[in-house]
Amino acid sequence: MKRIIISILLALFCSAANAQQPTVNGSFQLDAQAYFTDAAIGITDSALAGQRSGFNGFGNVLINWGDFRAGLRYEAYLPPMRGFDPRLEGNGFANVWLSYRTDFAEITAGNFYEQFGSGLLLRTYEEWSLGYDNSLNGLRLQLFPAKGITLKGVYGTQRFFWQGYQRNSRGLVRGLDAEFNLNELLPDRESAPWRLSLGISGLSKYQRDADPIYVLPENVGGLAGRITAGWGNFTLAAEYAQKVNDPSATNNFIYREGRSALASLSYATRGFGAVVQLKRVDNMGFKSDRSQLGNALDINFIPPINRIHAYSLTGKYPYATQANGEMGMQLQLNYKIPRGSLLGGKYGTSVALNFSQVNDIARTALNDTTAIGQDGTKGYHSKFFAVSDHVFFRDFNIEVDKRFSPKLKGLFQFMNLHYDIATLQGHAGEEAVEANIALADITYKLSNRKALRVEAQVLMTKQDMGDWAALMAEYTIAPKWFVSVGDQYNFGNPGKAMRKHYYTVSAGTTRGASRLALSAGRQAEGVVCIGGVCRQVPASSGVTVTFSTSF
Amino acid sequence: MIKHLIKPGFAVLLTILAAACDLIEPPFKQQAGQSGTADRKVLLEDYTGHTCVNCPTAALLSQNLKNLYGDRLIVMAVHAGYFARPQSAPFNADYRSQAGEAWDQFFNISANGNPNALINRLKNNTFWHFPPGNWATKVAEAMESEAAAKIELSANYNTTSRKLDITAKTTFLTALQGNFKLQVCLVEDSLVSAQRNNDPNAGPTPVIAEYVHRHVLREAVNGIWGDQILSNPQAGNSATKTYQLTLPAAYKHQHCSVVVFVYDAETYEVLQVEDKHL
Amino acid sequence: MKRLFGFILILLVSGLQAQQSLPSLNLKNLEGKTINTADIAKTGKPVILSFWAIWCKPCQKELDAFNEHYAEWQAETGVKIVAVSIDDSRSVSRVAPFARSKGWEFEVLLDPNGDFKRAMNVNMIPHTFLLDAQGKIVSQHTAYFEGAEFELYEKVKALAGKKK
Repeated sequence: MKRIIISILLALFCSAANAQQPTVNGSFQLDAQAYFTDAAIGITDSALAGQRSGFNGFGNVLINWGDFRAGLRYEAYLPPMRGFDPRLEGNGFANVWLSYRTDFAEITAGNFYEQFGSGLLLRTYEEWSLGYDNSLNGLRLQLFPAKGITLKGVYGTQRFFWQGYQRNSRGLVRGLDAEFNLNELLPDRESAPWRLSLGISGLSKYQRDADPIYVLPENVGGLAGRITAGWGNFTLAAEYAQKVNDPSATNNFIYREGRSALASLSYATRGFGAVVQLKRVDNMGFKSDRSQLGNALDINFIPPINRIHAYSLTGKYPYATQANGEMGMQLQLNYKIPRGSLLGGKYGTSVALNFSQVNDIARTALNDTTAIGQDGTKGYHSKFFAVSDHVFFRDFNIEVDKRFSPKLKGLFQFMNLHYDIATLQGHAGEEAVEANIALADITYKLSNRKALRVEAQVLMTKQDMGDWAALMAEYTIAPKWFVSVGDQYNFGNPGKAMRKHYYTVSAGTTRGASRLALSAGRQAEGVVCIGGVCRQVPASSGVTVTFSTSF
Repeated sequence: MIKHLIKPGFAVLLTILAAACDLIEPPFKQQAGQSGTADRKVLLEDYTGHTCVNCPTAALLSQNLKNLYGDRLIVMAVHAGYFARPQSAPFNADYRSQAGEAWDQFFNISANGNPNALINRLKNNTFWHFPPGNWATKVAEAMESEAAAKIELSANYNTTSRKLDITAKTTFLTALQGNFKLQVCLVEDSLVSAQRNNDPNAGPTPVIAEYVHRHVLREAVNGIWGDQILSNPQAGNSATKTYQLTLPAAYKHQHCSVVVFVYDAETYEVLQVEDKHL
Repeated sequence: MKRLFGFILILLVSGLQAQQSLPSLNLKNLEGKTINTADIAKTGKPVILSFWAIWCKPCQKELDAFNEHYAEWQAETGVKIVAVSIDDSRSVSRVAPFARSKGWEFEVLLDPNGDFKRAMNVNMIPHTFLLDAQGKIVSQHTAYFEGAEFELYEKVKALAGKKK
């Protein structure tokens, strides 16, 4: 494979020698951590277990040469930092690819990232901060036969940490997608008041069956269709996906077909926006290795539809999609109270309201003798809109963003949360977390370039680790410097001995697209038992250095 | 123009997809006959812990495999890592062992989570552990592999003196390159104590108060990595090792067995395994 | 692998240049219209290209700051601002209502699977590029601190002035 790529590259080098100059861009990042013993939060020499450092780094280079593009990505995890998947340990070239594009077609060989629609059937992506990468390694052909039509075909195997593909070591993924943008396809409809685009995709994975217990399908296929329609300020987007029987470790080897649907209706005008989203997932976990659990080898991506929170305490209990079944909705309203009005004040005030709730789906047993979800059966029955009373997650939050004067502005948020920790983190038997969270984020401009920002947060709950408070102050000198100190205090932990402070001090500088940051602090322990695996991320205390640059 | 494109497009798509789906009809489970060479036995080390809620499901799976393969599958539950640590009652039992903890660290298992297993200590490409979803397939594959050695094991236990005499004779069936070691372990079955659980099929959730812990590794009799027996053996070469120990009073002899395996000192791959109930 | 390095070395020796212009990729804007990224810079004026997401607070602060001065900046230099949302399917449907409610005057593009982000080597957001009137990248920076927009605007003015 590499030889082929190199020959193609060389051929390209010769043929394009008199074409335009090649250009290159790229980026590097290193994150290094040193861990120390810290008796106050229970980190002894033996708890460190010899791991006194962690190192994650990558270098990425892209070459553009006329119609050709090529990329190389090197990664090193020596060993991965705490909290990252230990299977990442290793180093080497994670991505190597080459693509050629004309007005009619684009072909890519090597590692690529692709998404059909919103990803209910296929999405490969990379998220450095989570150590996640499920890129496809193979071939992709995109065709643009007419304006408004995009056809795609993909064929390959997925990245699985550092494991190269060997015969039957994991599944093959092949897919087709077609998208039609009718405004562009039909003559003279480019600026019509309506907008319509349609898409359809099909996907199939092949994985050998050598199981002594189950009779497994070696080819598992799925189909999805989607529509995006707009009229004036309204937009409707809907997608539906279905796949055939796919017994796997994720669904406890049941032979039920999988279904999922995603729909949103939004209204947007200057100063006001509203969106309502609905989602249903029923047995839609889809991996290119049926034996895998957890965050690896996902073929599809079922988006959690709830607000992604940006502060440490509002983000403490994040929702994770339940691929085996969930039904959820979200409503978000954004309004900017105009300047000069009573509530808007001199500068206008932004208000955002968000509500989301996700329930389990309702399931009924196949018959009197088969338990719901029993392996080696069709699993259960579930009507398409059947919802259970079991609430996985509920989040109501309101945010007000207001400028008081040219120097002072503030953001205030209140959040009420219901979090089924037994399901979402696998803490079996624990009561669901009912929490109220309030925060204020105040920025005061000391001069044109200097500013002081203070974040104060409080999380009140009787469950899990109890109440938390967080305070952070940051001083910035634009555009280059920042320094911050912060503390998270678990003041309401039910165990008195566990009422610990988690301090962080950090400082950094940014020069153009280069950033260097240094921080020291503590991280609380975490235990997560989702997807059939229990993992503990030990508490840590240490120093982190991050350097990143792009060119 | 569009119609011309769409119709054949859909036709092609549907044809490809029809070929790309295997619809399975019941029964979904098979009664696979035993295959492979009957003298080949396989070792499954289930790394587990009593506060790991997902572990009872995996124990059920290993038991199912044991039912399928009978004596040819030897299961050893290794309690090690965070989820095996003793906690406040009822989780105050401590089934950890020095060898188990050392193996857990070396093969980097509990850091990857529990439950996970070593199957014949075969390397799983860049790492060692196999998640439960892999166990059935990997065990089936391992059963197919040729037996390169056989172990004749005897364990004589004196109930009054609690003295245990172990004799293991390893005979190589084919010539092999490398150094080979013998590991002797003491395993106690049916230890009853609390176990966290989230699988209704495995018992009450969230805690099974009187969970029966099966095949628990108690200790390695001859050190963490065993004893060297032969280098570059020829077919027919054999080595005999004997061990004597006093069974600790805490172990119920009627539940104890000796598990012995021969492995390649370089690759750690287990060539053969044998067990004997006291 | 060695040969690959050799090849890259050849490229380097043969006079490889740092990226100067935007790659050609198809993205959608908030109206669902396909926009080729290579066309973003074809305005004959400087362009500020900023990568953001609705879960990124500093990004919003930066874009709010841009928006506050946009009318004034446009009148003075003709600069165009394009904001590229890297929100994926978790939040992409909330981008249009959010951006409109903010009253942002500049164009917002959607990059839900990060194709443009990757092509531009954007790893942390906010990440902002400044392009000159010929569409060449003249500078880029990551992070946003209160007041950084003034420094950026000085560069825009220098570019606009240089053209005259």
